Amino acid sequence: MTMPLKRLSLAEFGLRAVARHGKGDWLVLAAPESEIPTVASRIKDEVEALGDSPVQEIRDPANASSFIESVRGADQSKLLIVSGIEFFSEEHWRYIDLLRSRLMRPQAVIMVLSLRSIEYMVRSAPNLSGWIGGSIWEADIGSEVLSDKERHARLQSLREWSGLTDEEMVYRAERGKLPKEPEYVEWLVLLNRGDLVGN
Amino acid sequence: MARLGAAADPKDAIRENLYIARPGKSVADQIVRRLELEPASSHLLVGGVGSGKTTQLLVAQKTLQEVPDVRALYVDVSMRHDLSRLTSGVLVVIAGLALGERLQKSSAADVKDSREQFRKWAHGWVEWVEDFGDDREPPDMDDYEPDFSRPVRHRGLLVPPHPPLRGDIKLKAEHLKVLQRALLQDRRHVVLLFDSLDRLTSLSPFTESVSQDIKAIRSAGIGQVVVGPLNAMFTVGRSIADQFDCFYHQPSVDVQQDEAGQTFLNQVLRRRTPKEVLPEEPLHRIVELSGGVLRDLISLARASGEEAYTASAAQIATEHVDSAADAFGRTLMFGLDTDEIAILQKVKSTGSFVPTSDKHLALLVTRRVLEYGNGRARYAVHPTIVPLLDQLSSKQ
Repeated sequence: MTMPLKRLSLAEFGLRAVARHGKGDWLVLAAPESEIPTVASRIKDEVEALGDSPVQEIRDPANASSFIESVRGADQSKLLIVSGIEFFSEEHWRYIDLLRSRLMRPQAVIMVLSLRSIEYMVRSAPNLSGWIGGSIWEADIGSEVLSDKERHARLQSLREWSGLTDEEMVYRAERGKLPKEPEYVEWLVLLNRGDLVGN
Repeated sequence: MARLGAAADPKDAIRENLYIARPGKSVADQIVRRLELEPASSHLLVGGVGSGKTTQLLVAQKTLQEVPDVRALYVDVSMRHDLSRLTSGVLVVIAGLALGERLQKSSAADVKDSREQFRKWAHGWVEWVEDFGDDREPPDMDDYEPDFSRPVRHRGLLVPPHPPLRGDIKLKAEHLKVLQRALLQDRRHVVLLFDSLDRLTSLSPFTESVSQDIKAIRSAGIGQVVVGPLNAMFTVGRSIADQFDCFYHQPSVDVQQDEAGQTFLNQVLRRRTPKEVLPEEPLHRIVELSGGVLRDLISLARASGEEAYTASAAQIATEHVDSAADAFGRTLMFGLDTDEIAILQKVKSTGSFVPTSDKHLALLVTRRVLEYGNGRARYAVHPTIVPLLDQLSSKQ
């Protein structure tokens, strides 16, 4: 009966996470349970490649209380990626919900969860879910590579958005004069010029 | 877009001048007016997730601080205590600690003693007592006769509807009075604002706290405002709400039938997002789709901005809002069972909703059903799930 969640490629999810400027935003990405560790690592890579925000991973906290303490104790300047909490029951999520205030932090938190865990969370942690709002997507793991048509369309929209040609953009990147927006990083990657990222 | 954080601390929004008062008398206004008249009164505030209860509490605190003879202290209970272990006595001890923190420089012996007591009650202590174990020698007296009787307590059948304060709570209240009197040297009234108790899913620990702690704090002459669970509004919860002097419900803003409410939500968004980024038409659409829930309004605006950003658009358009609302609705629909879907379909088609069972209450708490309180209660399903419910019905 449940409506399927919107699907996003890991690259697009990473882009959205980096684009978040709101204080302490929470995002959730659903993935098959067996794929969660891999997806969490790949999201970390995506986020690190797209932005200049440092990332910290929290994996396999022992229980709900340790999850809360890990989030509280994490470096406040870093974006967090949490995984390995599939064993959390509805009781665990209820506990986390009671202590939601302790989870407030300045940087975003990404949780990689199975669909079953998301169901538990939505049911048992209404206050935490209130923070997450509509920021829950399902990982479209199979759509990682853009087709040629998609790549050209994306490049065209980036050109229109910036008013620059590919050559002008690369010229600026080579001289370290590219603005910091993640779109430029994505553009370089689409042109196979990832070597210029961070110039 | 930096001002669109759904998980941001409401204190920041107030500090950054992003707060806009609701039309008419806000809950914060009402609380302040009553506390000015009755400084030791008790107030219960309930409302759905994301309706702005904490913001109202903080605004009330700010306004009370401006009243010359009042000292208002905001306490997030969940930051000081594990709410899954809430029991009677906890709120009084937290109140004692909060007052004691303001009296650290006091050298008065009674104040020092009361502060120390609250510290012990909060964090525990070790005490050495005489050991009366079985191997103890009997007293060396000629006329000593062992007494083999033992007391047996027969409990009475009658349970008072409003139980008196327990001895240990009374003692804590006495120490609270000492701290309150010491604080009153510069202000005449103290008001405590307790936040986070709305997250309690079971009413029993809340009931226990209300019947002992709230009463004890009141007996110390301290005013208090408590954010409590939404189910205190319904069925058995009503008797708990009755134990407060005043009760307030913070409903969602009625975006369908309240023009002033719509204007208010427009202003909330406009203060956070310029017209160049969010033109009027998509702004109105966000207001409509938020269902009047303040946090959802902010969330949807942020998600719409994100849709525009990933599409490399310079400003948010209505199609970005609709796409964000679709994702939002899907998360709200996630995990619902057939009974819950049936309830939602009924609310959508008839507007009829009687929150009696836990299942009904859960739909209210999780904002799938929204309550509007302009005079008579009106219920509606969250606007972002309406098209999804339509899709489900057309499939059946």
